Amino acid sequence: MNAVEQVRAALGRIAAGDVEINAVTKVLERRALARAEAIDRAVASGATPGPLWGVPFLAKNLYDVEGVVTRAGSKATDGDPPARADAEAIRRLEGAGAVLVGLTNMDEFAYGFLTVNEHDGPARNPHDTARLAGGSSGGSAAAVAAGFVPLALGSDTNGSVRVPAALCGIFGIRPTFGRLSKHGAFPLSYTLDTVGPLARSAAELTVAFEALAAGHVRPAGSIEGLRIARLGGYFEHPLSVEARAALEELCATLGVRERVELPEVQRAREAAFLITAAEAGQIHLARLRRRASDYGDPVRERLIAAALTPSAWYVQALRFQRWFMEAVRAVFERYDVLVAPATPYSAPEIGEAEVEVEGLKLEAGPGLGTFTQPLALARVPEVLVPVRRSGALPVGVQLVGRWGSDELLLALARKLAGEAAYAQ
Amino acid sequence: MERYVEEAAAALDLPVAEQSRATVVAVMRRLAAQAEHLLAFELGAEADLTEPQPE
Repeated sequence: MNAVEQVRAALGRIAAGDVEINAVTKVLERRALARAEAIDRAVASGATPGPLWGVPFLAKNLYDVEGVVTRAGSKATDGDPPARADAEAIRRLEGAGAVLVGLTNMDEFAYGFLTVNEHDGPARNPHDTARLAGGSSGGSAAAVAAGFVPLALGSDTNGSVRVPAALCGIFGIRPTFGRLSKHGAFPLSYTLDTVGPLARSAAELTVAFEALAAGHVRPAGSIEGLRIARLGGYFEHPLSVEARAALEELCATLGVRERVELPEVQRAREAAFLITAAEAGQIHLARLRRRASDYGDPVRERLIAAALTPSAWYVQALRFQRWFMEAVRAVFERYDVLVAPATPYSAPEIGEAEVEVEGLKLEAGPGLGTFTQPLALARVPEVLVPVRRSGALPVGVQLVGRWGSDELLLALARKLAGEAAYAQ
Repeated sequence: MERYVEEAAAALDLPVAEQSRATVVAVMRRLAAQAEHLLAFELGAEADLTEPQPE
């Protein structure tokens, strides 16, 4: 199919299917078709098609799109001036031939793990529409899982790509902090935010990553003889039967026998909470003063509290981050890849406040970030590999690499994608 | 904590609606518990935020 045909097909799938899923908050039909026609004309004139020629994609609605107000999932952005240019991530994907067809549902200002948006409604999980897609990039994950598009842009501060990718059964990556440009993405935390693509296959995720990292792609290196260990200690509990089975199965596939523990993981999560709060609070302070009533209820109070975070807490969290990064770096002197669960449980039902796992009652939202948030503090890359077992909801496993080893993790994910349980 | 929220919000000229106050205080208490645990951790000099001095 040419670009126009691919884009029309994606627009048709969204029109037919999104009434049920609620993944897409804005369709950019005119822009997408104009872009697709231009690509087809260029290729007909002899231009070399890019690696993502005509591939339709969606972006979380915190990314700038020229001429469109960047909503970031909130009514508090109504009346903001339209973006003057596309976000760098959108520019790079389109530079590789992809076509942006719309924007996706998200937790308000990306401050959550559920994509239960007071203004736009919940993004529903295509595997069971009574359940959540996870967040905060839930619309992007649900749209890919529903087959609307093969590829979508999310963002990951504390797990916002990895959590919804796991719950929706697709691939995703939180890249090494700083490797992909965040220019034109509405921030939550300057210290932790990353741009992250989600895709239905490991191969497509790789092509998207390479387009986003254009000019700075590194050789993956060999995936033979890798020293791989499973993260123990903090990462052993709580795990549902399905999440544990998926982890065991993936470790067996990779032949992982060793366990290794990271130090002070609970404190790493606390530091990530505090850094996110302190930075988000300052990002939103001026807007909260002007129009607090336009924020949704759960987010407004959290951001007001965040704005009041004492600097002593924030500075200690930043100092701890330095310590933790060094501790994680030391572990990667002995191992190339670490394996960890993505979430303690599969998708909760919409409206479910608590989930009980191994006798522990966890708040449905924060509980989902148990295993992703502390790793975000280390600034190392993680690739989310989905595990789909017959008759069960998807769960995911994180492949964690040393700083800058994104390409190696993607190569390992492609190898796993050849195995039945991980193939889409 | 109620007093801290009231005074800090006033100092920042940040209005907190009456119906929001209890939730803000609850969130602040949770952050405070996390901070207390983090502050109790003895960090070595290597975790200083200052850049290393040249040799």
